[in-house]
Amino acid sequence: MASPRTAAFRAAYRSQIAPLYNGLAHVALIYLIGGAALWYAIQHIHAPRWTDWLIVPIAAIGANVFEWFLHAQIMHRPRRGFMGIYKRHTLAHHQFFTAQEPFHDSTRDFRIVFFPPYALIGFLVMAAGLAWVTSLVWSANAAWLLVCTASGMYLNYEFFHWCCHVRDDRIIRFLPFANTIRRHHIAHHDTSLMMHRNMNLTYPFADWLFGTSDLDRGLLGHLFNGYDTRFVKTARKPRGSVEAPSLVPAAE
Amino acid sequence: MTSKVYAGERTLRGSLVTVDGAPLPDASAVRRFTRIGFEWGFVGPEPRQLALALLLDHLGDPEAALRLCESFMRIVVAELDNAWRLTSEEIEAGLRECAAR
Repeated sequence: MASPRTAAFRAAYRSQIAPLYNGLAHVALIYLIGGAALWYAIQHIHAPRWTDWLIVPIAAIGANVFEWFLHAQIMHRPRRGFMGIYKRHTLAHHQFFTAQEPFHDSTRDFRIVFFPPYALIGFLVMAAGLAWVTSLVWSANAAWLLVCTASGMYLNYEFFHWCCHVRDDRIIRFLPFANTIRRHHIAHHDTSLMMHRNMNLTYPFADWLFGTSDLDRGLLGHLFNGYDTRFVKTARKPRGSVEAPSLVPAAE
Repeated sequence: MTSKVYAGERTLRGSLVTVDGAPLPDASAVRRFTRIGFEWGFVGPEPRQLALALLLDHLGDPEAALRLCESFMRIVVAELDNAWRLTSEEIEAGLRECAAR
């Protein structure tokens, strides 16, 4: 059950969602754009050499580190020029979802689970820039494979993030990787961890690499941890913790 | 010394900090580390501004607040929870920790 503070925040947030907002349409648009980018890129790949395929693991690891960096340094730190992302994430997403109440109640809550579709377009523009450079220094096939990998990783992220915030885990708890990131991300929503720990949102590779995971185990253990809590490090107790009624009236 | 209650919360309007229910002045007249406002839970310019503002209100001495704000930020402000409440006594205890390290 949500604490009074979380409940008040949820009521305030939901009251400002546009009446015409449709959560399923939001998700459909993201997957339509990502799927179209994937389909378009695949059409341009012709007889790739094995060396062209090497771009896939490189791009996947790059996307994993980028996801970690964006989450740790932009979404959880106030930076000039990126305050919109910070407000949407730290000041909204993390007040709406806590480790005690990490689940959405309806598809209207998708407004705060999924990124707005323009975020995917921005990501694809960045991927296109990298692909252009790749086409110059590597090959056209490698460039299109990079676009495929970037699109796929983004759609993977959105799906996994939803897996973390959906209440029903009857299937997810048995899905490798999805179960790992669900525990990993719900732990990240613990207010004592959220500014420092568990910044990956797909596979906890960069958290393992940079030592920002709440787990004390190796890479394979991190990737296939599932719901296991035996390796969780002892968390520090934050100062001044309070679960008092909000300073801001719920009607705001 | 009268005991005060300092509180911080992240809201849709931004990060709010109060002293006895009124907004805490940002102490930018003493030193401005950031134009973004207060934050906490990590080391950086916004937590540093909050440390300075808390100490200025608590000590009433700009020079001492400025001198102590770096260690107070690292030991106290960087460790604050998402929503927090500190009394004057807890700030005093935090300052003793800073002095002991």
